Amino acid sequence: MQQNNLIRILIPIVAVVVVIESVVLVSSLNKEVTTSDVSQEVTNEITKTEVSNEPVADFIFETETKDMKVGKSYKVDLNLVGKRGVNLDAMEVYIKYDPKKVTVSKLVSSDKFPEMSKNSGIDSKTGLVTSMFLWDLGKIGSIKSDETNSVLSFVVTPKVQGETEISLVTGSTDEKSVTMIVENPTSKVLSFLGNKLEINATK
Amino acid sequence: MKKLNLTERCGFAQIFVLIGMLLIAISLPIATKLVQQNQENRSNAREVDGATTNSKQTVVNVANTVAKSSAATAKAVADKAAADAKAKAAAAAAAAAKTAATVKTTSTSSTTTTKSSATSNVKDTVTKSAASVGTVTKETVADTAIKATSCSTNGAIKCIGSGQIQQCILSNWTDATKCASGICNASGSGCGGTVPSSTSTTKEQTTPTPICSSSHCGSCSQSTCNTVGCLWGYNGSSTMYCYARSAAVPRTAIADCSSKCGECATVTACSASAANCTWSYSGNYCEAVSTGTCGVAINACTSGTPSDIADSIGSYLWMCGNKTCSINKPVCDSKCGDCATVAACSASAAKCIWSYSGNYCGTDYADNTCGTEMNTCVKGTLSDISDTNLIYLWMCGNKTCSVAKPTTVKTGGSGGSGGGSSSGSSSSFSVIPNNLTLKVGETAILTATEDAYWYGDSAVITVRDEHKTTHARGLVTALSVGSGVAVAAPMSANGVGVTVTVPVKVIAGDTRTLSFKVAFAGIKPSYVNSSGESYSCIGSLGNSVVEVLNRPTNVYGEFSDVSVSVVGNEVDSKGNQVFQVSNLEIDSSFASVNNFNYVKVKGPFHLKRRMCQDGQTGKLDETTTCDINLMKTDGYVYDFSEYTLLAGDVDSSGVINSIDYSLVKNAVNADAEPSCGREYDLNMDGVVNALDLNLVKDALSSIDDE
Repeated sequence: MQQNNLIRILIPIVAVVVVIESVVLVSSLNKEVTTSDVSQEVTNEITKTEVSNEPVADFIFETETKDMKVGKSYKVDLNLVGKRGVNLDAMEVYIKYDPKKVTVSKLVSSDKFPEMSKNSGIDSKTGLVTSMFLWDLGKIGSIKSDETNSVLSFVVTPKVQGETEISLVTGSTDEKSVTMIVENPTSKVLSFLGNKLEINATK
Repeated sequence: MKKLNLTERCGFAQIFVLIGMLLIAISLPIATKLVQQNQENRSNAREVDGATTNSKQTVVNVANTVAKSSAATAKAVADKAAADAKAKAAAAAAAAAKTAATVKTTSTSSTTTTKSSATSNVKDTVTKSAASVGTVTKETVADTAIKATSCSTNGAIKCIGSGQIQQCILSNWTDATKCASGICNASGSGCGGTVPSSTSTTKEQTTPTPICSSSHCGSCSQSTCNTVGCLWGYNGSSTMYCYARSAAVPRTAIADCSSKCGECATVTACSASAANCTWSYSGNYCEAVSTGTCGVAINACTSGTPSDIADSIGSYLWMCGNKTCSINKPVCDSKCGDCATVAACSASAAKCIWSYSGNYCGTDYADNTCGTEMNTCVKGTLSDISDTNLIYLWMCGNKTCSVAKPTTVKTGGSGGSGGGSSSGSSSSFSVIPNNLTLKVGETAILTATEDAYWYGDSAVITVRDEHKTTHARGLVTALSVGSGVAVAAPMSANGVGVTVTVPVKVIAGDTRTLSFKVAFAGIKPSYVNSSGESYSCIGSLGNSVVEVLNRPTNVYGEFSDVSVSVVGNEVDSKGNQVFQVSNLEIDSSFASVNNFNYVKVKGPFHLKRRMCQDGQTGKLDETTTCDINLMKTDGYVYDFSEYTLLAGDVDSSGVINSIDYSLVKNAVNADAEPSCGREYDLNMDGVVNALDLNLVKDALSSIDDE
């Protein structure tokens, strides 16, 4: 009788355990699937957000090494990596550096872009590199998603020891010398991301 | 007994039920786990399959996923993906899965896998490096000391070089959003590079390109090959190249040697060919018998018929008969035109600039100067190009020059509008200036494009025909303060159907006023339409904004909607039409200021310029003593016309930049009929065309509002 009573008690308990397990685990299983889906949705959502609102491209400095020797010259490339496809009418790139710490020279534009406008160049007094790319009538530039485009290159020669940085000039579009990408045919200024190149110069 | 048996049976049954339920309780978690694993495996297998067809994309995708997931989850997913891929897919799929797995598991630095995103960046660098410094070789070295030190808040994006790892750091990244791996994806735009668990890293070494010599024949070009003791020829290859003499290997003869000398591999085959071939012992190859002899000058032949062919990058090429002749192009340090490549052009000491449209190297803009007459250059090589309906165009070097076609004033008939507000069908009839501000007692002259009847007498003004040699000029005399209109009607229409009305404002004689002349870049006196008729839209130029400031006292006045009127027959040194602001009433707050005033003028789509001295021709330093007398009441007109107001600030942002360029570019419609008042028509020729775009180009970022 005692055994029977024990069984009578255990059966409902185990039944409850089974039910709870079923509920928890099956729902957990669904949750896993749902999580995966959500993860995908989130990823897609982020992608969509980037397409509509986020920067269309990244400006990326590329160099052989950040650790440079004083007096030695290093080539620095500026690449533009598309985040989504856009057409361009014009692009202005302004790069600032500390003329007391480094010398910048040999500004060369990439073959893919139109020739730099006449006011492009290096101002060694103010430490400003100006590069302006204008696509002529009937021509447009294009940036494709995930495509790396070489924009320009220049040569950096550290003058003194220490850390310095080279970066894009950004700001409001009603200011002079502000990096901007202008879309065709909307004439809108597209947002972008840009980093800075930190240089550690040693002897 | 029966009751007891029943109880016992019930007990047995209950035991079975209990055991069954326990089994369910135990198997449920296991089954759930298995289902989960199966789902994940299937999911990852799909990605891996994708990786086999587009490994780079998959890696990036997986990397992105990983970047947004926790490291632990990523590792599990990666392992399963790799395992599933190995089980299901081909070897390539498995390899790609392994690559993906590597991405997910690493938290350290660089990569050695060839399909990784980071490697593609290395490849880019290698390509570039090879072009500039020579061959780049890569070797993989173990470097267990390298840790994930990248993805800090600030720092360089990529550092590729000896002992360096690829880092991917964007300026807006923070510790919270940095990539878990610390490695870039293929594009460098996000996380996701690959690093094997052994934390090995790619180390690059550069080896200079060998100089062409007898021991490095492979580095020689065709022109230098034989001169250093090497041989230029097929030597067993299907294409010609430079090889060492000792390495000569007879080339296997092929079937079409009989018709193509270049395919003959041996002297015998060459001689026997029906294609009239001869063996070049110097070059060790078979060539067609020459029927000509090259001259010493470019495109010259001693014998044979000369015919020019496309030049190569390094040589001028031409034919004498069937003999190809060449002369090396000179080094382009002293002459832009000799530069064959963009790089050489940029590096030239001759201050050159590459013309992408023309695909040639030309002298920099600064060294090319247009002449003032059609088809003349002060500097640069003249080349004529197609004119537009209204403009003569030509090139000086790579600078485009233009000048308006001659104006042939046509009386009567239809055309554009001119100065003053016109009515009627003969709108080519116009009057300048198109508005007047006079002080009581002053007289001004209005000039019409043809003889006209003049009227408009009122209590404020009198209007009469000057009538010296023609009736084209009218005199307006201010009688009293107020407003009136002067009206002109062309005699050719017998004064019927067409009238031009000029508004006249009369102010008190002792009012302090300021009058000055200005010129706007690109706006010429008149234009000719496609029918050869002269017309002008300069009367449609919008109003300007004028600011006046006294430096010592900071007394400031801003005057918006200031009308500018055309000054007849007056252009600046660049041919731009001169306009005048007449009798701008100065606020009484300026009554007692000294002469240290300056005037800032901003046209309707022009940059603001600071006028400080009479006859000013350019920007003056802020410390320059200004000398604009606001106390004058004698009608003196300051001349600022040689400090041209630059056109192009079409969005009125205060700076001419790419946005303005784009706005004008997208408004260009060169085929449209000229029509005054078009938006973005910067030179007021009634059409938005390349000339307007050039005005923006010329002014781009040269200066912002003063």
